[in-house]
Amino acid sequence: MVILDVSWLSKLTSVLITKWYHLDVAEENIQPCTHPDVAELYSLISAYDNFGRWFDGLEVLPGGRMRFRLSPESQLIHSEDEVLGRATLLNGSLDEGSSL
Amino acid sequence: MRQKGFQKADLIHYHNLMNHFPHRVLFEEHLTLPMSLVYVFVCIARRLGIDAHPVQFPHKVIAIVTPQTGDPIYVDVFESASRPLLSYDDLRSILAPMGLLDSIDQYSQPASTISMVLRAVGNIIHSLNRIRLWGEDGQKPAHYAAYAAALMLTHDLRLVQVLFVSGVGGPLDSEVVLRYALKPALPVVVANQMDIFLERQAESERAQLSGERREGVAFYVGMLFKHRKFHYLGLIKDWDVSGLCFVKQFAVLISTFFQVDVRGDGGMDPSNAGR
Repeated sequence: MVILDVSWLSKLTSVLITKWYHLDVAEENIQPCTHPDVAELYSLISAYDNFGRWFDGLEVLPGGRMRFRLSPESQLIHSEDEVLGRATLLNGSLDEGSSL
Repeated sequence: MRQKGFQKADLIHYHNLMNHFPHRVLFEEHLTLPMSLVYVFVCIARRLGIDAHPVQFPHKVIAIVTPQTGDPIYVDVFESASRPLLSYDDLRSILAPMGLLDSIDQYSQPASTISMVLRAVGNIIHSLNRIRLWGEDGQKPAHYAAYAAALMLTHDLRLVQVLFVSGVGGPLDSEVVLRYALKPALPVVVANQMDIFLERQAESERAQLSGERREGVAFYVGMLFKHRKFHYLGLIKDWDVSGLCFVKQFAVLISTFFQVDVRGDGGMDPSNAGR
């Protein structure tokens, strides 16, 4: 397993994106995506100025599956999500295309 | 004072919570309660070298002015537009129908500071009881201020519990103020009681933060996803299972990169992206 620091991404891709959106999405419309398009991923990270407040790294498995690690503040609010996210990533129980 | 707008509040504004707080009365809303008007009156009078004090009269606070010679003068500041001055006999005639004539000495003497603050506390609590039905802003700080003041003056242990009434709480800095400012000013027994409640409150907040609702939530914060209908990439930042209709909702981040993609594809604006 490789853990990447993504703090450099915002500098690299700031030219791509100038704005972000914060939306509410219903559960049934969410389809897990563990192999995102890199350009899309960069744009997501770089668009949001406070990204580092909520996330502090990208956890990537050798096969390319990934999730964002929670910042300490996020972990305080969602104490189980960091563990669940890691376990899910390793076990692969939420594969792409899975349905509820 | 009337020329500057310091006058009696009408019925609509009489129970406005902020009428009890001098900073608001002095600088924002001058139409206010008898007690607040008396505070202003007494302060002005004293600044002018006049011996003036508030008096704990039934139903409303009045002022007493003691001249160097002659009898005291009672001032009904609240009714100053119609009948500002009261004599001792006037007080008697007001108290008699209430059955309080025997207590006229109590109701005609300058009041102590503590008794006036406690009366203000009682007034705030009375207003709170009325406006809870209306949902007025400022209730929590008012509750907190009233009971903290009462605790400082009476050292009544029961008030510690009231300060921590579930769901009321205080301003963000309440714990800091209670622990580091109020507590040292209290007797040991009361301070210890406050410690117990502060710890309980902290435990409750920790439980709220960590114990909330994982059950039944399939996804997790930090997960990347594609929207099933609109196919944009999003990242889950938060989730909520307490929303209307019990729909599990996820707060997500997306970027304008998606806006360009999807507009070209389906003409959808991400700011209105379907839930």
